[in-house]
Amino acid sequence: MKLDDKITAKPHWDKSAEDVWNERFAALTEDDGNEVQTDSAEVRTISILGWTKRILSAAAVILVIFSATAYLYTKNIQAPTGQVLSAILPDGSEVRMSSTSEISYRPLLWMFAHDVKLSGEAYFSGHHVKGFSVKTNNGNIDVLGTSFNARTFDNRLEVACIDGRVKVITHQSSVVLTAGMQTATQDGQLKTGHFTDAESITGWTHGVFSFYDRSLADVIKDVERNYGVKIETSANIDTMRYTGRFTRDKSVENVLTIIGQPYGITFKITK
Amino acid sequence: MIDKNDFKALFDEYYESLRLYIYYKIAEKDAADDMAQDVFMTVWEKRKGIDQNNVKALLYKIAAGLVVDYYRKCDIKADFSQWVKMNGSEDTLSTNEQAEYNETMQRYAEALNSMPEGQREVFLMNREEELTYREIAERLDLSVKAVEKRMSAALKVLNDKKLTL
Repeated sequence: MKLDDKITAKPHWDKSAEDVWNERFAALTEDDGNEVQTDSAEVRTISILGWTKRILSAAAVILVIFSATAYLYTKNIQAPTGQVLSAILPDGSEVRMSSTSEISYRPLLWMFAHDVKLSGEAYFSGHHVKGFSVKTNNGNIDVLGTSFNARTFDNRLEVACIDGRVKVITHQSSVVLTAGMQTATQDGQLKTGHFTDAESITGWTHGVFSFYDRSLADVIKDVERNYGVKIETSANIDTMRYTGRFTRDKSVENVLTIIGQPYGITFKITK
Repeated sequence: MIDKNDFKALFDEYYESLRLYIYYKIAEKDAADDMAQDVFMTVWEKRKGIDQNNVKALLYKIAAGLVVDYYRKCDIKADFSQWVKMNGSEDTLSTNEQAEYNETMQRYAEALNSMPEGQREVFLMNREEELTYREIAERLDLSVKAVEKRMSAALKVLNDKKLTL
């Protein structure tokens, strides 16, 4: 049978192409084109993508806010003048701060960074988590073992290791201390040696001030800090060394008499 | 990137053919017209990222995708029996001629229904719109050889229905 030209499968459209153009496309303008919605599957895929994007960006914003909060939220602990303050750190270890000394850390970031900032003098003891680190302006101390004392007065850092091991790091050098060793920054370098009298280092934590061949000026500064006073003296004490001990329960006048008597000098409390 | 003028030119050149292409696949003229409009709307919305050089094949690709979605929603077999018609007046035909035409049209519809979609669209693009094999190949992003293959397979289906061109 001949399938001739008369026979066709072409439909007769309700609307001419021109009508379709006029009804649906003629009014499109360059700038509103993106907002025109159709029910085609292609466009739906795009809008689903748009939602995923929105959710992702919302999550990103929340994450940024949370990180910022976690970073900015720091806990500060400062010992009152004339007192030793004991605090428990998040890892359960103990820190004792001497008069006016301050530590700070970020509780929300503790699980990521076990960093404690110190200014002043503190004695750290107990079992520390791995990665526990004490930051000071003059160097850092990575804690490898347990107990140690750290002082950061007068732009110096002095660390004494009582038990276990700690690593002291400054810009120029670093040293690992084991029990019985101490180190101090001096002209940018770390001067390391052994100490014989642990009481002279940690005595302050239980109210005993013990000094072994210490510069008298340093001793007076310790008294000033621990009693919250200012002390003046007429004599030149720069070259004098002091060895001796006293307890915190004595009055500051009494203490100054004990210190000054052997040298024959007197001190005046100005504040 | 295409602008409104490019878009109008594209519409004028391909709209008619595109809605026929979809119709060849699904044998539904209203749905085909709607889908063809959706194709152009998609192209308009994505106009900033469209490369003018292969936009022709893109039209047909989007259309084919919409047809897949269409079949996902309603699983009906394309039926051309209501669409096959005679051009021109039937009055001049004798009763015999009329009967013969009816028979031919019925066989033509049956042949179209039994063809796979790929064969049918190529065959109808060629027969109804007189597009060359090269033109069909470009629109469907096929080789000319592939178009020839589909054509000869389609002609074999017609032959089985004892239809000759």
